[in-house]
Amino acid sequence: MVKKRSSLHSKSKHGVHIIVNKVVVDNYFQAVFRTCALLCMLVFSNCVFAQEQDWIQSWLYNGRTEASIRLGLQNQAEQKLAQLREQCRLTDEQATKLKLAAAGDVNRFFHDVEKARKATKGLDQQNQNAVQEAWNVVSPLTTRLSAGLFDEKSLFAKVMSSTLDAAQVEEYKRLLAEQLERRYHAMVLTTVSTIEESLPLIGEQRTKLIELMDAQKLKAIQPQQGLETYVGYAKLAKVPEAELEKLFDKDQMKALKSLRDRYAPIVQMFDR
Amino acid sequence: MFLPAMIRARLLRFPCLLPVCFAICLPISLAASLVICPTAHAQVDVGPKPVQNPKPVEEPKVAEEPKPAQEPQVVAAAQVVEVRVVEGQAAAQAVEIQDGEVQEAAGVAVQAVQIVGEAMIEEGVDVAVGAVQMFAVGMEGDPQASKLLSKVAVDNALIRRVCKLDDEQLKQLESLDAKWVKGKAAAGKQAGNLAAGVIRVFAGGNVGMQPDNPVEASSRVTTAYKTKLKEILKPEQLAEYEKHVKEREAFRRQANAQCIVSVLEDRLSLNDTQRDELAKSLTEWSGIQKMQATFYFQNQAYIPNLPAPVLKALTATQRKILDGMQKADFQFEMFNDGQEAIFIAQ
Repeated sequence: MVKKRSSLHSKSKHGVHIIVNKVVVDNYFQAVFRTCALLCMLVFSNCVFAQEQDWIQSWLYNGRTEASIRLGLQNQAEQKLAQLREQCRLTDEQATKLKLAAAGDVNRFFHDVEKARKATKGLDQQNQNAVQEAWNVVSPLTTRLSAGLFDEKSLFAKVMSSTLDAAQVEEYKRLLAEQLERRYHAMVLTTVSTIEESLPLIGEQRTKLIELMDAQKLKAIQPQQGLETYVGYAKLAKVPEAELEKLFDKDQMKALKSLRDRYAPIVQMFDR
Repeated sequence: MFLPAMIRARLLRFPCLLPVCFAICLPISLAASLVICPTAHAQVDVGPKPVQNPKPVEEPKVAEEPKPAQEPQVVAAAQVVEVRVVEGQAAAQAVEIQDGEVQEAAGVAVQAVQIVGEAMIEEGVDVAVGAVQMFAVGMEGDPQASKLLSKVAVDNALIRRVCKLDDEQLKQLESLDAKWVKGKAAAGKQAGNLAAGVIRVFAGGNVGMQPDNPVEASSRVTTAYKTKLKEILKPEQLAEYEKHVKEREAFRRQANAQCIVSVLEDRLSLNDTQRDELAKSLTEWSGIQKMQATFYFQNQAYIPNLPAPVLKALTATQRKILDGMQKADFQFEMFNDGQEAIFIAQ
């Protein structure tokens, strides 16, 4: 009886007996219909949950949430204000104005983000032109965010220039100049370190070379110009050859000359 | 299970129909879904999906920057500093190796002459080629090996400057050249391949099919170089050389630390004390040695992953700011900046 229920016998017209195990057939059915059901569910879920490509999320936030970025910017503003309070001795009234200005910069940024989101809404990610269009809208925001919101063009900077008194402005300028000097010095160090990967320097040569490079003055540059990493090489190119000849032997000079020639055009870009 | 009993019974009697059933059900279910939601197939992504960045706009105008920074990896373009006579076979060989990359001097391609083999340089020929470039040509486009060669060449040049070598020592040091480095790197690779082959015989499949690990190759060459130096140099010479190497490493750490402090200074509004403390802890941190710090000057959106003990000098707010920033680790080893290597003085 059990055997009869679990298997079916059939006889084809050619007289061949076919024995089919019922359990196997049941499993086969289940596999077929589970697959179909799964496919249907997938399509339905895509229908219900499908979202458009969020270009802002992909390119600007890059895995972070809007709230975390906003918080980060607010913290930056707070930190900057605290530094100014300490170094430029801001009054409470000045601090309040600057705080509002910083909040304004943050709000303006996210307002622009929303505008960009609307502008890129519905752009087809399969279409290269549409992707390029989205990039054109989003990339300036990416640059702004990575460069920091409180730069010279910011509301914060404008309010600061109109709020601080002459002495405070001078102090602030001095602080900025010192910061730039430190930045340039760090670039000189990393440049010498990079050069040293290819050209061996003795300790004294290294120290003197850094001194010579630090002594070369370049005009202040904005990070957006993309020239920052060339500061060290530009300074190297500006060092008078006679000074280098005092320091290095003939073979080293040959190598340095090659570098200086390569980066000489950069100097013009800085001094423009 | 889901089918009416009649159909099921029929299929049981004719099992050969089962594949047909499957073939029919599948398109039907897809067609049904299309009818229900025709747009679903146009947008099959769920949530944001990373898209490859297209050409950026408003990029800094790099067109005016010096040419080398934009050039692709150049390993086959040695620059001939001085050539008096180069003739015959060597020149022909050079053209073949360089694959059209050669420059010509007086109608003869000379760049690879020294690399092709000492035997091909005829007596009386004086060919002075920048050492790194010479090595780079010899490595036939392998950037990792090129770096190894560069490292050995730099250290050789350092030894010549800081240790007073006699003629015999100089000769021995000169033997640590491109050929030697290539030999050491290749020996390890062959051993690796052989071992992988043996493993495959017993284990089958693709076991051990991975290419030679560049880190291992680097380690092999470095170890062999150190061993060789111990043979060539006297203890006091070795000590002097090692002192200078340590100085160079310490300087690199200091430079990278200052660079990271400078990157963070603007964002975190560090005060003088914090700057000094951060620079000190960064210099002592093991991860700073291999960091490609200049990357963070160029890419302000990123900061390196820094361990908590390094950040002791920061306030809670500064740490929060840091936590909210994008992290990326870039190491010197990851970069081959595509620039033609500078000379190493002989």
